[in-house]
Amino acid sequence: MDDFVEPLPLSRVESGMAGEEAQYLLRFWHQNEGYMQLDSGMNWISRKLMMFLPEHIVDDVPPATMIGKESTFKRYFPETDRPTALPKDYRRSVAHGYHAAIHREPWYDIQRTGLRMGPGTPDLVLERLILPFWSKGGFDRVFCLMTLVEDCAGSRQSDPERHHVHFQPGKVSYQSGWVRPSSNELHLHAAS
Amino acid sequence: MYKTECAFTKEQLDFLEIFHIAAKYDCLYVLDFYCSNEFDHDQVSALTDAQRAHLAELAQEEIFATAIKKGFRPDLYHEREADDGRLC
Repeated sequence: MDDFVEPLPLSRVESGMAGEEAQYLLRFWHQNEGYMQLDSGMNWISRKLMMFLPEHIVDDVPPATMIGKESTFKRYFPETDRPTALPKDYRRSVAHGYHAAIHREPWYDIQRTGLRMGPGTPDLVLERLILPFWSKGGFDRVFCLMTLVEDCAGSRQSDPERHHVHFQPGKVSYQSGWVRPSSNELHLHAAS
Repeated sequence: MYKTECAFTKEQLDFLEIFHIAAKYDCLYVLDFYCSNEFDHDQVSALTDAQRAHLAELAQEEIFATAIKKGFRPDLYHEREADDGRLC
């Protein structure tokens, strides 16, 4: 099975190649230097976000506190609010992005889940933008915006929801371009 | 001197307590997030008392858990509840 997790350059998010919501989220993070502010755009995006405690757990994802009702996780696992319900092997393979964010590094990557989420689970290609947000009152959280690129178990036709963006404000223009990164692009991620 | 009477219901106080703590720890956005997820809009002020109480219930674990870690100690105002269901 062709499963993998690979970092992608944040420049792809900044340029809009990861979608308008990811671009907005990263821009908001930069503009506010990681400090969370009240914002209607963020409230809208929150429906697709997963929110985690900033707890570094070795080889594991941090505890989730809120799973947006329109998040990719909720779409595929509507019966649970706990990503820790997924197999440990899978959680270990995707934990690094959360650890980076916990240590205040913005993170963006792509993964193919293969069989790692367990028997009977979908084989998905996903992009994740993971960012740390904090407040002056000490209320720190890690946000993850996970975007479905492809459901490999389907007919391999374009996923209709992939282009169906409800994001407001702003004009809908999401075109997720899944292109495997070049080694040069991967190098840029560390430098950005 | 005049006697004041508390006009807040338990539903209202439940929400106000969460709102107060969220403001103190600079995480009011959490209420907006939960409102957006539950009610498809972020206008908390447009909610009914019952809806705001429900919102407080949804967000309280998230907000209380962190606030308590930061030193917050809940005020057990429920012990002061009057017989008529109103709180003073």
